[in-house]
Amino acid sequence: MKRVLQFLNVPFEYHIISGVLIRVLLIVYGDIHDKIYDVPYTDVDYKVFSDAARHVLAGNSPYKRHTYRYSPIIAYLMLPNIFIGKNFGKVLFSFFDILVSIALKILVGHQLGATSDKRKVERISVYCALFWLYNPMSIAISTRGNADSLPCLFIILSLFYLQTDTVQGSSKYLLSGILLGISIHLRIYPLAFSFPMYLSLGEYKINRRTSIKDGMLSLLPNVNQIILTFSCIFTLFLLTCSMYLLYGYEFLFETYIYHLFRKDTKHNFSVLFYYSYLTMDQLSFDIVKALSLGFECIILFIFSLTFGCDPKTLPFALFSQAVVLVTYNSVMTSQYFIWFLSLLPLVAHNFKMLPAKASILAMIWISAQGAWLFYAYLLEFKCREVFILIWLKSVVFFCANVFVLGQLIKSYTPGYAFGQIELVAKTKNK
Amino acid sequence: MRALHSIFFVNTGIIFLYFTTNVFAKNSCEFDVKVKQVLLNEGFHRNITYGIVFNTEDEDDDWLYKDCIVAIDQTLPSGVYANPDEMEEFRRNHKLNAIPKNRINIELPTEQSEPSSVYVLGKIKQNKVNLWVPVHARYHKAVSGGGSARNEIEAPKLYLRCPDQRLDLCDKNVLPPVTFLCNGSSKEKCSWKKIPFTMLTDTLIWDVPVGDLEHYYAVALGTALVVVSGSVYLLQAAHDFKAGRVRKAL
Repeated sequence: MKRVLQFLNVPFEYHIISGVLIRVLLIVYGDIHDKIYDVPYTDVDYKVFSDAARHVLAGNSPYKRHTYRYSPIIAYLMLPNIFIGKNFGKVLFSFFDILVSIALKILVGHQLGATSDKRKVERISVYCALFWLYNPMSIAISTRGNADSLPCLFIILSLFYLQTDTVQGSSKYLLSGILLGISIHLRIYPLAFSFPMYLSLGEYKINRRTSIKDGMLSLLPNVNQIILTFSCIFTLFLLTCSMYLLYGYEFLFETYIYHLFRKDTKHNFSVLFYYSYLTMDQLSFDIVKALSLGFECIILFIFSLTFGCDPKTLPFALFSQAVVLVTYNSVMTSQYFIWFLSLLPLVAHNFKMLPAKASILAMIWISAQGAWLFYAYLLEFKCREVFILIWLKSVVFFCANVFVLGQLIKSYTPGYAFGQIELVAKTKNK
Repeated sequence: MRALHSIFFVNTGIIFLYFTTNVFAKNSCEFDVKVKQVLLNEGFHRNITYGIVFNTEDEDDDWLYKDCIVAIDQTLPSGVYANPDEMEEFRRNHKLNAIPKNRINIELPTEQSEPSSVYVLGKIKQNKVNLWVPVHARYHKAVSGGGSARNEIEAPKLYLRCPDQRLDLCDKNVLPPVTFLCNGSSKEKCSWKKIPFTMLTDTLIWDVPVGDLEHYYAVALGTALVVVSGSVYLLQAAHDFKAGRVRKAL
């Protein structure tokens, strides 16, 4: 334990260096692994990006590559893959990973503010950043060449500029809006975050004695909210329109429409998987899916109102929304987990719970996943008829997600700071 | 002198004719080719391998196959596909020379797909060639009672292309030439000869599990119930949080 603490307390720069080393080693390992084994280390989508970049380089549309379902920006970023080296993309994604860690550290430091001695704030913010830097999932996702860490980077940066004073005045809202716009262009899901981000900039002094007129007035947007909204919409519009002009309807369909109406019947983590498979050829209105979508929207809205109205609880609003978006999605694969894992470091220090309980929650989440993976393996690699068991495991995983999130909401205590700063404050009060 | 010349030419002509007819008569392009087709691994992702042996009685007879290229034309049922992008990557890395014959949508279930074909190419070395191609199974529509669906992979067609015109010696009526791609890397077309062979293995059988429609009501009800209770739990948690904050504020 002492050794672990000693390791955790080394300067942040050293952690960054070791984070970089781990990623570089895994990129090198991936190359060797792919040569030896049949099941590759590299993500399937990485080849898709590279192929799309090859099409772009040849002056064609990236959508000439079947199953390329991303913004063309990712294909552009992958261009050096063709003329520098096939690992360029993985290095780039890993670099973004490191940037995310640094942004997270500064952001957490800012959250804790000047409440207590600087050393403690520094230490806590480092601990939080390590949740991302050493997260096996984030390491695996970027070194396997999955681009999902890219929208995460833009979301974190958007929140970073919104909540810190790195850029001052109204330009910070402008910058935040632009970054949010880019992230929505890359992946649709950050659209849900725009509402709590917008709400967090307002001032609400509504109580029982507030008249309806004053209540309505306080809901009118202020200047900052207008700047955030317009810069976000403008960026999103600009990017999407220019891509539309370049690649036409194919871009809109593959990047957005396909994801909205995706009917993936192959096995995945989603609780809706087996139901979707059984109802594969029914195109009409579906009550179970409508129910799921309806509840998802209600929860996203309620979470926005509950956690989004206060800048202090805004990161938790985004985190809990990300969990809900993933849990209720009709298609869920493990790459989606980084939607919320990238936001976890921003809120991890606010959970007032015993380390033992935190470990149990983590175990519940991981073992529910493991159980699903076991049956999925039996189906995919052994051709065993286990559809109903996979469905049961996806139900268990859904419950695990919901239960863990519920427990996190219950233990969520803004300003808790792993109990470190509060303890200091208490002793001072005495 | 002139007469001598003509005698010489006639003689050479006769010798050549004798030689070719002799070879022709001896071999009569009687191909003795044996093909073994095996489906490796288990699960939804497998490899079809082909072991092809070109038998010759004695060493003088291997002229017919020497330095020739074999192309296998494998028809895949609608429940099975070879991934064009995967094959392209193998081609780029010189691991495999396989080309899809049709456009393939890898995401569709069996019922919405058509049978497809794939060419696998390889060079004959010491009268033998071993070829393989990675194939994947599609999902089938769920049926009442579940169980598994059967995919049957038939024997392939075999083509030969040699560096010279030697195959033209064979009877054109028996072996009409076919034109298709020379290899995967260019759009150039070549003339191929379809050759007869003996299959040493049976039709390949590949059973994949299918969903059970009898689960429909249990799954629909169960899914709906879980989603609703999970949602109520989360909304309750958010409500409690808000109530707790209000209490603290008071």
